[in-house]
Amino acid sequence: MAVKDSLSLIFAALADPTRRNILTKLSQGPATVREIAEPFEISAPAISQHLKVLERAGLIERTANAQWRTLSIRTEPLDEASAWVEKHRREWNLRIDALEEHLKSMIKKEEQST
Amino acid sequence: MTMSTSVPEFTITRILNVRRDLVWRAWTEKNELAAWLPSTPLESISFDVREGGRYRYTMVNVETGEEYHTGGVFLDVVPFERLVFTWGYPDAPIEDSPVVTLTLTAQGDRTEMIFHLRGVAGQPGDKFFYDGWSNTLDNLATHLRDQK
Repeated sequence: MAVKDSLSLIFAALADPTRRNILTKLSQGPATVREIAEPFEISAPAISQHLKVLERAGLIERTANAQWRTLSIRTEPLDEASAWVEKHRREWNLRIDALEEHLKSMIKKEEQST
Repeated sequence: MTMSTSVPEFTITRILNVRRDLVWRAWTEKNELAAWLPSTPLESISFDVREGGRYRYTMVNVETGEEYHTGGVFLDVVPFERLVFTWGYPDAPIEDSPVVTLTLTAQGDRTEMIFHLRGVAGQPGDKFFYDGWSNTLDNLATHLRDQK
């Protein structure tokens, strides 16, 4: 079992629907903070807070052009998150196979004792 | 570009050919757990199955002797029906730990078992943090809506 610190930052960042929407929007291409904030009915400080969480998780990066600053998505952490899900789905399926086997032996034991 | 910006989580559903009380015992009693958790010695298992109670167990790699400590806190315990616990390093903070929700439904002599693992519990107040069954259902509904 291992959720490294970087993974918990990624997972916590993905836990919020607004942040997932921001990422979905950025997956279509880089955008300015204003463009990102537009569809949401929340305050600028709230948006900026969400962006900070995403940035800390390594899910977005800011680039400064000559004229303005844009945000773009970084996909590596998302790959890491999917890899985590796939690994544990596999492992738990195996564990649950073992559980099913053990349940059979529990029934046998019960039948023998009655 | 295709990518998943969804919550890292998954669900495994199985229909088990045994009564629900046996499935519950297999998940909550040391002797039973030691029989199906991989490479987990009985003496490494401690389970305090009640809300707020802790558990821990250690997987041992038989070849290298390396130990993997796992543990967490029971967040919700409804005997025979539902077990919710964090699943991570034994003393990790709740909000950073993955959360398992195990739901057992009796179907005559069979049992439907739904195993759900979510990557992180979340922070209190972020609408994601585990604070009860109804909220989990709300979250699920929201999540399903989000995916549309």
